[in-house]
Amino acid sequence: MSGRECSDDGWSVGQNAPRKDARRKVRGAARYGTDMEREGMLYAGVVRSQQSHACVESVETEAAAAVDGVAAVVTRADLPEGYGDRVRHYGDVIAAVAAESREAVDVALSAIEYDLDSLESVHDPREAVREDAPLVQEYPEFSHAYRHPRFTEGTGYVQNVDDYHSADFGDAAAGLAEAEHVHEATYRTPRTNHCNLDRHCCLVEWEDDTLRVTATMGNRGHAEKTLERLFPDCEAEIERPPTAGSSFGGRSLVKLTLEPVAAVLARETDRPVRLDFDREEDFTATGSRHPTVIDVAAGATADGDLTTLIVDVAADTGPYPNGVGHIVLSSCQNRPVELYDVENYRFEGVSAITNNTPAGEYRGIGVTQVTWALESHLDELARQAGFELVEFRRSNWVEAGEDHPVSSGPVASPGPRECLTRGKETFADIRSEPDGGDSGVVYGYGVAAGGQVSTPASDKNTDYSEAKLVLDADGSLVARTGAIDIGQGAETALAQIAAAETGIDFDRVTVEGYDPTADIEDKYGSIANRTTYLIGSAVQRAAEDLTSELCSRAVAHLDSAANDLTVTGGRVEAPDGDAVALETLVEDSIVATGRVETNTAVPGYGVHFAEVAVDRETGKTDVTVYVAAQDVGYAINPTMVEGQLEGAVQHGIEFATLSELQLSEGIPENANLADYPVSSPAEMPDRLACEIVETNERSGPFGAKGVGTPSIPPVAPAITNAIRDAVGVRFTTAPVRDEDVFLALQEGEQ
Amino acid sequence: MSGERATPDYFAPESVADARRRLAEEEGFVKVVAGGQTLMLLFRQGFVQADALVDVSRLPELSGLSTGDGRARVGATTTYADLAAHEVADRVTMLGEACNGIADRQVRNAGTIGGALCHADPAFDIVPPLLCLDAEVSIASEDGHRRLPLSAFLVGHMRTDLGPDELLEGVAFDLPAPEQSGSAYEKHAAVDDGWTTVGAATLVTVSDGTFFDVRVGLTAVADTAVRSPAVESALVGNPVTEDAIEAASEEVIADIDPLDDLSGSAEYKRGLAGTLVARSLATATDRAGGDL
Repeated sequence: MSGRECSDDGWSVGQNAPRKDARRKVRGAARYGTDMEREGMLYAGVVRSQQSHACVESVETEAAAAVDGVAAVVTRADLPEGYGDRVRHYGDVIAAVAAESREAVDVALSAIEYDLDSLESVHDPREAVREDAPLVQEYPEFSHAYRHPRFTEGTGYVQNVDDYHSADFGDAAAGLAEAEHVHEATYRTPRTNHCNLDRHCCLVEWEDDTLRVTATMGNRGHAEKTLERLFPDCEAEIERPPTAGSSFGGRSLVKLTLEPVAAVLARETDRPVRLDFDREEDFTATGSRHPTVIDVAAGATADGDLTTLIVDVAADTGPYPNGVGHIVLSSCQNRPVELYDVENYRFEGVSAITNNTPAGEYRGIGVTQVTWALESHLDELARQAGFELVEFRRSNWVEAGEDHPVSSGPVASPGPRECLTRGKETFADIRSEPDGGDSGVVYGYGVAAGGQVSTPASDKNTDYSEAKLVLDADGSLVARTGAIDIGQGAETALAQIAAAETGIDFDRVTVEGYDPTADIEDKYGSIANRTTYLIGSAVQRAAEDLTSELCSRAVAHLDSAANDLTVTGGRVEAPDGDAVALETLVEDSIVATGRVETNTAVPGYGVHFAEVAVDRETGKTDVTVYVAAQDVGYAINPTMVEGQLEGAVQHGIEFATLSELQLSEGIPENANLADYPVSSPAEMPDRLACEIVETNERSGPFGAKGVGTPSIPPVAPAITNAIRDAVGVRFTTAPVRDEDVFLALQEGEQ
Repeated sequence: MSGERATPDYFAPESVADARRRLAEEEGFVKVVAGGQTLMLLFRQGFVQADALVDVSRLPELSGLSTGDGRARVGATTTYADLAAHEVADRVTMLGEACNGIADRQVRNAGTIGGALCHADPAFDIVPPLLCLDAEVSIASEDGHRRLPLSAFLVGHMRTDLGPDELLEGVAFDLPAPEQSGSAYEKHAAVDDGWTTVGAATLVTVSDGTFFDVRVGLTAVADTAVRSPAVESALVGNPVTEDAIEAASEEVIADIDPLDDLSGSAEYKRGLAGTLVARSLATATDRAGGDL
């Protein structure tokens, strides 16, 4: 690898190029969704249900319509087919208003009178699928664009089934019966929210049958299909705001109570309509992480061979299936056996429709939940059996290149072994050496492995990306892509790839994200670790074409063959030192297009190490030392990779020890940032080291693969395994709050 | 169902006298705005509605600290950050510790001492140290001035003795003698900038190896912040030892009645209270020159 500082030829790959977006963001010059305005734009607001399941009996809108400045008042009955006359979660839409000012919106909203007739509701995913549960949704397909068949045929799963998965190989029952060491437990994972700084916001305009939605939207392709399904005669176009907000999955999809509501108001008034969420709406009307209940049974031989795994998952998808329940289940089903080589495996999982606030995409969908359960479980099995904790797991990891027993592709990554070696060394260097004083603070150490794949591709799903490079006569290069820079650094990393491949200076490269008017085919946009990996590959292909075109044009000016020439510093150079400036070679502009397709999702693993300090008298648990060793293929920009790893640790700490949107019969108790605990730098580890492991993924640009979501699954189990080590108690419900630790220790003393 | 949400009238009086007059004249429900760090959130959520707002945040007469005659006077709109930066916070350590642990820097720069006392949230950090100092609040209206002990001002869960036409203008307390006294504030919070689960302020005077005077104040354990006479009386007159602190701290249970809420269960808070009181006492005793 070349040095990480800027080389003489400008920033290349493998170097810490400064982020293209940093300057405008730090200076406050960036304009986000909530800064957008249009000529004639109306503001909008929504009257939301305070009940979790009810029939909307009546809505009186006259008084609201008479308020000064109000342009339109619509009710649930005016929303697209499928919404129906029932509200199905706290925060669901009863009515909505568009007006000239925010103040008029507020006055009008409070003038709307309505009657709700309460209905029986269901909130536990395992109860929701039973025959006697109230039916939440008679039309579960309406809210989600077709992206995979829904399977709903599990035995015993009758009512409110969003999706169902099962897998079986070997003989799990016999495997468990024969095992020397068996451990069974049930794990519960929290409803965590992304808590993006920029709240949800969309600006909607109709132009004839074109529905244009300007919003931060990670999965542009899916969002357009969903809107076209809700508004059958329209063509939907998603546009980027001037600067996108963050996503972490929170901005992947259309939200039923946001874009479609604004679209109805915009059509009604024939004017642009902007609808912004406040923080409570962000918590209750978007999509948090799916809470899950996960039963795990595992069996091992006397000498530590893990032979059998049984995993049973119930996920809470909320009232409106959006296709994400399917991803939760497939991740829960496949990831355990992509990491562990077992002879016998049985998986069953259901995603249940409930009257809780909606669930959606969140960094490491499903895999974060199942990895927490699995890595907790195997740590506990090893402790109870007396196995060496790390060696037990390492010896049962799959070998690179082994066929995959459940999903299609081979396990191509060298896997977590190098991460383990590198991480262990670093952890030994930086972990504390407690002096054993009697301060009441006990230390514990935990390890966990986990990973996620780059791209949603599979043998049944071809993923594809295109990129178009336009070299202008002035020597500047524009890369048109299907990406969106949601803070992950797409603009910067893709520019580094283009600069490295073409030899054009990084500072002269501009990356453009998706644009409905650009003719770029890209299946999804920026989700599922595909931006650097897949879109980056398309950029690289286009750059190769552009470079060879420049070299063949340069032959006329230089005394060398085209393949002896190189592009560098804004010119094409021959081996003898002769050179020709790009401007000489480009009359109008040169356009080169690159396209990549894949049916294989490549895995990326991390092995993470945590040290915690637990105050036995208060239960206060601090993550004091942390090492994230992560196989990223190749780090296009090492500093940005470290940023991804640090962010994963922060999200993982919230899942492990802090955060949960608490619902009581579907009614939120802490849907604000005062009561919902969010981590700050104070909750980050005192010492945090990122070990970037590079294994050269052949299918990725310069060997790179995704890092955003593969880095989150190991975090929470590494931390809670460390808590187990410190206090001798295994917690099976996350988050493990200080209070839980305190009360468990009290109980242990009695 | 419907919620009437009218925009309140807004007044920014130019003097304290002007503010008093406005409070006297206003007929509807009036809220005084100081730092706005709690009030504005409640407004936005629709939990508080008012016909008028009287914003006193820019009245210089109400802001700042002064000391003299062994007494400190804190203006109502003095911010947490102002107090933490003042020499009084160095001298009375628990004040600085309580202020610096409140929420985040933005809140400390805007949130005010007077606003906190009037809001009377039973989980605020600033109240227990002031209770330990036997602080007195000064209140004024068109009808005149009055003073009363902070403990009498706080009458219940988010309730005070302040009348609708009255303005809290400041809080004052005697400064503890620098020799032989020490203080400390200890608390638990789930996240560093979040709500306090339980907080314990202590102020200790040590004389000849015995506890001469002990004040213990707690937050988030009852309807209001409270003192713990049980702990105080268990220690006063006893020799300065760790055992004495441990034993006395357990008595705190007699003076608290915590509720289950989002910060923690009552059981957890009862468990925390004794530990935090003991730790706070140990630190305060050490600062008082006591030899544990």
